[in-house]
Amino acid sequence: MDNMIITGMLAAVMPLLGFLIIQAFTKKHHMLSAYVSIAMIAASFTMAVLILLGQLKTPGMHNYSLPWMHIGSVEMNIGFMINQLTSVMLVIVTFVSMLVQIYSIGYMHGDDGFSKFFSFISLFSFSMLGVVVSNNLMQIYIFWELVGLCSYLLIGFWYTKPEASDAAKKAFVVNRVGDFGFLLGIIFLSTKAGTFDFIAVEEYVKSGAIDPNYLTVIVLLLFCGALGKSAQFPMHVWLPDAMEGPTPVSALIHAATMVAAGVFMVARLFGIFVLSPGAMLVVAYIGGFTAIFAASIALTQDDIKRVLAYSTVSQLGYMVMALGVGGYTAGMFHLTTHAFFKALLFLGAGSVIHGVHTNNIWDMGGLHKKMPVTSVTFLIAALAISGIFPLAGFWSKDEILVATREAGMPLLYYTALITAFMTAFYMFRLYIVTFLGKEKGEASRRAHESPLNMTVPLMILALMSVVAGFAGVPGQENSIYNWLYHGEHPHETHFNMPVAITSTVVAVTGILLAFAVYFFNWIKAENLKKASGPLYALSKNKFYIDEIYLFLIKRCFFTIAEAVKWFDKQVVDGVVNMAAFVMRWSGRALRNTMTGRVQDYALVIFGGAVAAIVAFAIYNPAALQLLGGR
Amino acid sequence: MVETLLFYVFAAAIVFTAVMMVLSPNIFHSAIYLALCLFGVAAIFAMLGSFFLAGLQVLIYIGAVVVLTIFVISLTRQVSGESDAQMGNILPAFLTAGLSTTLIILAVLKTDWNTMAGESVAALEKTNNVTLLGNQLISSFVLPFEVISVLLLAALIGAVVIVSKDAGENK
Amino acid sequence: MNLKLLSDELMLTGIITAVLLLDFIIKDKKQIIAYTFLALIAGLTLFIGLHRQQGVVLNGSFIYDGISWFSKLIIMLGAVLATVMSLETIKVKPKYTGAYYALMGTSALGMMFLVSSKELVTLYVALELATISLIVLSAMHKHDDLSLEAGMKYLLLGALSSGILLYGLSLVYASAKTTYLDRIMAVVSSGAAGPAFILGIILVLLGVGFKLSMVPMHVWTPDVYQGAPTPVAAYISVASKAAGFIFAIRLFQYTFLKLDYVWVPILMVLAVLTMMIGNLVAISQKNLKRLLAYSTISQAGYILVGFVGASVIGISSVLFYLFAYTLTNILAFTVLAVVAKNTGSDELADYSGLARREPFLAVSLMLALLSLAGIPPLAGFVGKFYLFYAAMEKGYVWLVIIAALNSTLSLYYYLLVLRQMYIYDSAVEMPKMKIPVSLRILIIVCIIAILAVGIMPGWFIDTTTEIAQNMFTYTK
Repeated sequence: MDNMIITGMLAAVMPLLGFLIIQAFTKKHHMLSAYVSIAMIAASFTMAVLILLGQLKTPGMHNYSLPWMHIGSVEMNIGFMINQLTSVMLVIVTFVSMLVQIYSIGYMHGDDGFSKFFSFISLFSFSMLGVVVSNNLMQIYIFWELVGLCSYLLIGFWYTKPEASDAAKKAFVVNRVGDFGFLLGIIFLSTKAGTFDFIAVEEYVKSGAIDPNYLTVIVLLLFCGALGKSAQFPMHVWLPDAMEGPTPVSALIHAATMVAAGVFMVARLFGIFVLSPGAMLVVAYIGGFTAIFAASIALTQDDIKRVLAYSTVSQLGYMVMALGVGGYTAGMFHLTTHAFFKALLFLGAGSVIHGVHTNNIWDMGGLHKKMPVTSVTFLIAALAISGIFPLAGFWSKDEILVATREAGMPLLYYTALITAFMTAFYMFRLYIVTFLGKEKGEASRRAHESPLNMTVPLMILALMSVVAGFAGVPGQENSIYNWLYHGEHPHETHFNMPVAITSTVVAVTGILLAFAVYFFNWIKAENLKKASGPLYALSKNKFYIDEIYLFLIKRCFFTIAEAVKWFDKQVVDGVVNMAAFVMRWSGRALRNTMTGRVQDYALVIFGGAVAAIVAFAIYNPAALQLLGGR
Repeated sequence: MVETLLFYVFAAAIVFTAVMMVLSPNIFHSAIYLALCLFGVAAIFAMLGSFFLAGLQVLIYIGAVVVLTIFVISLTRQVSGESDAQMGNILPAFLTAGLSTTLIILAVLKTDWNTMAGESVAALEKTNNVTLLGNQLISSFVLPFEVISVLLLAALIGAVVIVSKDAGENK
Repeated sequence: MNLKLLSDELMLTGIITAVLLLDFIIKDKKQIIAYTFLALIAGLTLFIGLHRQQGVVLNGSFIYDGISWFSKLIIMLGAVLATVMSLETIKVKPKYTGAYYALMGTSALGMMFLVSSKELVTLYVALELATISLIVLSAMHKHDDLSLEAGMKYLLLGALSSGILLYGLSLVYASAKTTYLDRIMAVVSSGAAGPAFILGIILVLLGVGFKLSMVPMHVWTPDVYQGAPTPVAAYISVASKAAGFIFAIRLFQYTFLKLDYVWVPILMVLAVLTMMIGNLVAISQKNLKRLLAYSTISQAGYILVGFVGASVIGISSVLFYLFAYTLTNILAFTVLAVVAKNTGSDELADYSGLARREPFLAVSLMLALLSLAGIPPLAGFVGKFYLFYAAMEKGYVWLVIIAALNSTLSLYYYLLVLRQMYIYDSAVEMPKMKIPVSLRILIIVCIIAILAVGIMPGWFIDTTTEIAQNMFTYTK
């Protein structure tokens, strides 16, 4: 156990300590709880930075396992794995979490659940760090579920309004559906490999001991987990609804960290994923489709947070697509930059909501004068996500475009380009409508800049959104590509001028179009709406996916449930209720009628027993002699 | 020959009385049929040489259980002739019963009972049934024997608790 | 004859006698009996836990091996926890207090014999002892029609299932011509299993299924749970189920192991049905006790998944899950008992706003339900994972898929309860609830145990694995 492992372990455990302290001691003292929580996460952040510095100096794998339990002959461990990937994720998670918590002091001021909120955030940070440092499948799954549980608590339990609760439940259940696949994948893989350890499993798979088709199934099952957590189509439905939660939560969980867990998991298991080209193809296309699909929904949403939510889904699609085409570094790099500017966007949105008390962008407008800091930082983030040189998004997005192009997948390349165009358009639609133009309502007239503890995190994030990209300037000796890579050699990178120019042109066109429509009114938004016809309705209504699901769930799930219930109630009890009715009518005591029910129950038991025997006799040819056969 | 004939007579009587017990609309009659049915079983025990079991069957089942049942019926019902039968699920019930009977008969007929390993019953026929039973009860089966005594105690307590009237209650 | 092996059972018999005698001596202040009983069985539990024995008496009809040790612990744990729960929540007239605890003792005694017997007559008699005591306990709230109804249903349906079991046992006996499990196993190994024998096994399987609330023998469960006093329902749901599973393990995973082509396919289908029916019907329940009843049915289904799994690891997973499940279910039922004591209701609607009125109870129930749903790091997660893993070891892919799917599905109705507690406000203003100290301690102990087993399962799993191996290696 070397220093790096100890540091990593401590970094992960600190927030748990914060959670416990708040729960045990400081629940009554709001500010104290916040300070405890922030102190802990700051400590974690410091350690994460130390780890990152160490890894930058001497990159390498540090792996340590404590025995946890034996299942049969299989050993399960609690383990810690620190390598380049871990260190990047550690810094992102602790950094964003810390800023969000500082921001929350202002945002959550005066809330009843202030302490609870901070304790949950601490618990969440712990779970997320647990996912990051895990070195085996079992452990990552446990923390994976914990992350989901925390997100459930944070969305649902803080707000006591039914929509938030419904959203929380939806998020939890959809995630569980994804996790169902993930768990199956883990069980399938580990029973085959006889171990849960990432490295050992990877070696086992590399040895070719698994049938390729079976491996594809396993990889796709594992990918199900990422589908759920990273809100990829068709499991993206929970993320926009999750916006019912408090905005800092959205920034932390639904923009920067938890939703990135799916991408991170794929990156962590990349060695297994790459061995199944078929599965990788599915991953790439699901990512690509999600990217363009979500972006097209974001074009028409009116709720500031929902626009950002669909934007997140779309950007996550980008990352997944990058991983799918083999662009390991590109995907992870985009994850990093995206964490900064998306957290910034959400916190900016939170600042706006804090000021105007509405989520509807058409009630805002002209906020630039009222909230200059929020506006400028938001603009920086919007430029970054649109991929404008030299902001962070430009470098990472370009690398993804290059990756798709070099992987020889033109379809994905053009999908990504169109998505980039849409992204630039809807981001600037959002920015113009919210911050520029005239004040549209009473709300925006009364708006004011947020307090310092909210704006300072915005400024820090804005700074990061500007500079983070320089870590990944291609072709440099000390760029991220020569440090964070998968496999034996770093991915060959070079600055692809045509791609860079194309993407910049596309992004600028998108921005200009947004200005033309929403700022100068050269093109009437109404005409645009008319021109696009049914497409507009589709986008506005999120392609009716929710409705389709609801329909399917109602149709399938509840029909089965109702049928079973009907069988249990009607066939078993129905006759009885009838008898009971007649009996009561004839003035008898209720107790007597119950005997009828018992008879019916007895019939179920006895009939079931006989049915089981008959079924067995039919099923098993050897037992056919029971029925006099043979 | 006579034995076989007798067996079939008793067997037919058992089946007949059992069916009548179920079908009889009068619960009092049902109880009487039950007694007759159990009597037939006792007769079959006797034919097999288990006189002790036959005696027990008559004493306990007919002498105690059925008689008690008849007492209870006549005590709780004002008119003992009134029907309380519910014939709601008669068809599925008959189907189930018929099917299970068929299955059991088929299974028993298909089994080659001679190849089965284990102790032979024939060797035991020479010894006195009652003595053997008594010996077994306090040697091999002493544990269940003792557990049964606790079982009876539990049943007794249970009966007292559930049946006894509480003070102030005038039900 | 080595009577030392029977010491646990003999001591419990002594405790029962002592309770009955005390009932004679103490005229008022009947609670003394309850506390005495609690102290004695808690002591006995400790004794069993620390004093594991090994040996066989009475020609192999009574065995003290790892599995009986572990299951005795679970049973006594269930009895102790149910007794603590009973102290403050049962509404039994003082003059029946002695009888109540004596019956609790006799049912535990029956189960203890059940898990230690390797002879059919003893097994059957022990089963009946346990069942009859539980029947009376279910009907103990005499003033409550539901309770009496529960007792009656339990009695009649229990008798029916006993009939099926007994018929099966008689066919097994007729074929094997012995009632000793070891000798029956020898007969099975010799390959002579005629149709009557196979029919017998299937009937036994279904007869045992009653105790496990396995479909189609599950119909009694919701009514009995709803009607019976809550501690009794909890006790039935954990101890009785555990004893039933041990009975099933002794018969199927040991005696009839060679005939697994008979019982495995049946159990697989029934496991699927049990999970499906339990989960799907639970969704529409409005009464929390009935909801938990259906939930325990589905839990039985999960356990069956592990049961059909690979031999040693399967047994180990079943034992581990039974332990985790005991803690979890007791926790859930305790919260129910406290709420019912204060509001007099088990209806889901009456749990509205519980989180605001009684955050302690709401959090406890939440933990219990999340553990039942299999959310880490609670005990239920490791247990379920282990069960599924055991089935996967044997290659039952589809069974594992269906089980995992069901486990996902079950979350839905557990969340409905949470939503009721956390989101909705109660329609009427409720007074502050009284949580008796004993129950508060019980709840806290259960929570700590659930977390401990969930986070540090290593030792428990090693123990159950050792015990499962022990059953095969230790026969004489």
